[in-house]
Amino acid sequence: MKILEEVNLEAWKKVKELGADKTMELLKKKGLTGRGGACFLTGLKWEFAKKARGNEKFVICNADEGEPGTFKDKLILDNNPENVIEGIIIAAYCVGAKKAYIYLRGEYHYLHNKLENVIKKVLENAKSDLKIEIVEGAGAYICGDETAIIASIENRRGYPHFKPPYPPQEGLFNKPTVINNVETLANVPLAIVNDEWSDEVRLFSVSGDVAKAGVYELKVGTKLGEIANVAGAKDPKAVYFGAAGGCVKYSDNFVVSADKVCKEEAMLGACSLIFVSKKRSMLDMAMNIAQFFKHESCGKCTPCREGNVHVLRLLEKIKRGEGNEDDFGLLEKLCITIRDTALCGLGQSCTNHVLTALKFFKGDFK
Amino acid sequence: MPYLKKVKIKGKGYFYLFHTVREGSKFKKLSKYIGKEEPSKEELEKLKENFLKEIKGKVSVKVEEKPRKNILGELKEIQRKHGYLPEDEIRKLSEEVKLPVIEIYSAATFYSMFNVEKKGKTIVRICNSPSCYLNGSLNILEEAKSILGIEVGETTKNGKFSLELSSCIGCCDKAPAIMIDDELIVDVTKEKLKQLLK
Amino acid sequence: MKIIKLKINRKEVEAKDGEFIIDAAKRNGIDIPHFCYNERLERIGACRICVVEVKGMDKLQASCCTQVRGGMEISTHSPRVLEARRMNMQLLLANHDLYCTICKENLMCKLQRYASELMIEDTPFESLHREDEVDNSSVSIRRDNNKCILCEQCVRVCNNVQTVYAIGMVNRGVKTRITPNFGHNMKESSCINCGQCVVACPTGALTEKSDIQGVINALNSDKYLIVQTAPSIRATLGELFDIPAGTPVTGKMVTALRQIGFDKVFDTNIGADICIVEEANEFVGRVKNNGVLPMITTCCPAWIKFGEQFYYEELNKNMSTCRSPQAIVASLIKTYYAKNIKKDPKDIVLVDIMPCTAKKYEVLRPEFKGETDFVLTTVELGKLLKQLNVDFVHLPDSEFDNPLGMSTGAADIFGHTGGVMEAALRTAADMLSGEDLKAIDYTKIRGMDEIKETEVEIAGKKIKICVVHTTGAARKLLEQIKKGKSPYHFIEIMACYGGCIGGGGQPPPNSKGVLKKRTQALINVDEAKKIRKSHKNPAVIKLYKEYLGKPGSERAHKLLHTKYSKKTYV
Repeated sequence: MKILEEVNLEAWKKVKELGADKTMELLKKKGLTGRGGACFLTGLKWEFAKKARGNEKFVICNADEGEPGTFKDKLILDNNPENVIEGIIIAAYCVGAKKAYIYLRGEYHYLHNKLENVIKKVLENAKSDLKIEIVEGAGAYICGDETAIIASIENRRGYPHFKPPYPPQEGLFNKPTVINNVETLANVPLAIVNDEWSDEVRLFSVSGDVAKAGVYELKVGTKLGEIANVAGAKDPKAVYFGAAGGCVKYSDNFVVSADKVCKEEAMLGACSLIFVSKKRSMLDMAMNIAQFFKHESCGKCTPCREGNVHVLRLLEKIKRGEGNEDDFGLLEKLCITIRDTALCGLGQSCTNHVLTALKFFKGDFK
Repeated sequence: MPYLKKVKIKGKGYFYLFHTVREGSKFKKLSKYIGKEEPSKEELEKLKENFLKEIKGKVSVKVEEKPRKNILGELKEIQRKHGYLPEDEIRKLSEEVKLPVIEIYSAATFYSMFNVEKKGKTIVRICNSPSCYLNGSLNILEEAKSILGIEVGETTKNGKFSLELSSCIGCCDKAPAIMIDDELIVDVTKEKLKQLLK
Repeated sequence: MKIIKLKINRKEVEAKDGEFIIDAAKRNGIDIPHFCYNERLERIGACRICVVEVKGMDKLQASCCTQVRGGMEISTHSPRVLEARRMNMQLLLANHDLYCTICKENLMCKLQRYASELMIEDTPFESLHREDEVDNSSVSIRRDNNKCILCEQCVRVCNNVQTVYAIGMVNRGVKTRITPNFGHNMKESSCINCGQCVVACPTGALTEKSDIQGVINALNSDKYLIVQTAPSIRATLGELFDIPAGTPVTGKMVTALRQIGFDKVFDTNIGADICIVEEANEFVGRVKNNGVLPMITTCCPAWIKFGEQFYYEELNKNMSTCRSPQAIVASLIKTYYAKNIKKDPKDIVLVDIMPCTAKKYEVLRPEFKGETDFVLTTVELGKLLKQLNVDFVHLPDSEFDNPLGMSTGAADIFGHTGGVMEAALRTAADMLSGEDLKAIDYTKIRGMDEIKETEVEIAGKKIKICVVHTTGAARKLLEQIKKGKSPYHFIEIMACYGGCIGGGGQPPPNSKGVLKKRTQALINVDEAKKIRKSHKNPAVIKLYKEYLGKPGSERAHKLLHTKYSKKTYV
């Protein structure tokens, strides 16, 4: 896979020759966007942080891969963590940060010692005086959100914060902070060094009712039929884009790209595909995912905290056969309210799965 | 240095003195109302001097920043050693890092992997997120419940095992997967489970 | 301070650049509903009731966290916004007890008010049937977690403003609760009883511990009933009867208390005058004899508990040994006055009307045993008068009883921050200089800044003064004293923002605007009085002559001073 190509600090050498501003220009030109789901231009984010007021800045590597069906960052950290560390060093250099953090999810604890050794080795070879600290999470999906990571590192509860102010203006300890996903940082050295590097090539985590689940490196715009073939999908009915992305009806010609998925009112996010076969009931899937969001809601804002409980209760009522038209109407209205008034990304996307399932698979619910 | 500026409010003009000061990590813009007429040059100098004196004279009690050391690692060590987070260990930690006890307690109870009440020696977490669910996590759960003889959220009578459900642990390609304490166990089958939960 | 133009509900309005939508709307006459927003606390945007529609943004924005920009078009009450607001309220109500008629906070609850304003007539969601704990352990504050809507105001006040760290949020998601450490109760925690959480709480989750029934029983017994009222009550009681904030209602208050059955209505203000005489005497003594400085005033029982808990070893010698005004009057009633009217102190029932919940804790201290029998806060007095159907608004004025009813202007200003210090300086300056000084308005220590300082020159000595309110600001000063770096000689500490007029027992909301009006009311009362220095109070002079002797005498020490001890907490 291209993502596992070793760069061996070639990019760091080039960055030191180009300087911070030209490096960020280059990344903007190459079009590197965030791989955490938000797809923001990485070079532009770094520029905001560099221009922000203050002489203390931070870089955080978001290794809190909590989205169901996502395991691509694990692959990168298992097999090519050197690229990620090089990406962090380059980010810190461009932004002007002297300290970086890697927020590693608690479930990936087995990677901690290995990463410490890799960090020591790469920093020595790069002759950089950047300090990189690994902070281990402790089982909270909400801590994948930018502002929640900041709260977690600051020893507070992992509550998200309203934006603006955005982290590149005011982030960790109120200083300008850049937060990037593992895959984004792994792509930074590749984008700088390889001429044929393309932003369209992403890592797709494919799982669910498939024979060969795993990480596949594919181009954005691939058709679902191709992915189903190569992963051995067993009679697919629907595809979920993680839990927050919602689902689409399976069709061989469906083009997997951000705007095509958006048109169906779902969200491509971090490119995780969970295939669901024809023998499954979408109502059961919806209940499973609703239970997930109820457990993982941080509890700060009213619609997400209280709303997710009632989403699950209404789905259970429908499952028991006691649901009527009013309940469906209420469920839809509730989902739309949660989406429109929640504080953070989790709340705003936690009802996509219900709304899309109701849209495409109403039959399963009756 | 303070500077004079005419500000228009509801069509009328008023004169103010402005000055920016630094407060900890933030910048604050202070203002003082002068009057409706522009002061003369000597008056202005005196006003600027008095304004600065007023600002500098204000108590500059240092805004103490909270300690920056991250304690999630220490809490994990305590959890590993004792199996949960006892009250006196948290109090000891609070003294060491100079954070109030309620803040550590509040942060610790937020996370799924920390327990403030005594649980079993080994905690078994069975992933029930969509990919594992589609690959038979509920069967694994039933098997675990029958081997251990407890329901979800309970601890065995001999205090050895506690059973919990967990959200996605990132092993969706090798589902169903479980966690036993800090370890990820993938491709779990009923036989494998019988071995692990002896 | 740029002024920009934008549209709110299709009307063009002006706002300051960078202001938040909720403030801009308030200034233009629209009071957007909110639970978690408080102008003095950190914004969190948690309740999502204050959402508004902004043209160009596809999701609804919280008006307390979104800044205005020129050209914005905001809709605060469009059908979409009202639907969302209503649904969020219905979600809160589904996790709340709907028996308002038998709730302590009936008719005063914000949740109830918004449900009525939004015309919510059904609860489409299943009730979640909460069964949480009710904590009655504290003598001042009752905590009922069943009514909590998780607006986090109490946690922010207690941890960020007061830095007491008594309560915090526990668990995650819908299981989140607000409790003290490790499931302990309020009595064991480090709570200082200041009641700021009670004032901040929009529902009946945090309320004062009620002593009303005890008072009603006493009013119907055959005991001799005496009541004393604190300096700040006269400026705030009217608000409970829809009299505009900042209107002193002294006369009506006295008439009402007499009407419901009290035999004598005394004024705590005379205790304030005596407190000044004793404290100024103590301060002058410390200055002249190189005693421990800075000296810190001790009228505030919440601050005293704070000091005894967190700084006892370092600072107990800095605290003035003089009692609070309420304790002085209580002590004199049960000794001097009881002797005068030839009654056994056990046959006298003394009720204090106080602005704060901490006084309920103070009167139970062992040093004050047997003096005050009941404490009612301002809010409780309002409830009592309403229960006894007193037509407060139409009552005529009357005067306090003597000999413990006459006070000077210096006593009235005890109610606002900086007032105790101002009163003390008026007397201390005369004592140190030996003259009758004319300049008695110390305006530099008035106002709402949390830390105010000034320097006065008396008899050739430069005295550095500092006045703080909120225990969070006090902590900064106490840390300075602990390190030995304090430049001050005399410090006033009030635990509540604004002083006693912002106390835990006052009618909410304690917003800056209301506090300023209450302060001005007290300043007006002071300026209208002929005698404005405590040591010139004829009743006080008579008291010393007849009974106490000189300030600091042995009897004065026994009756008017107290001692402190270390307090522990979990």
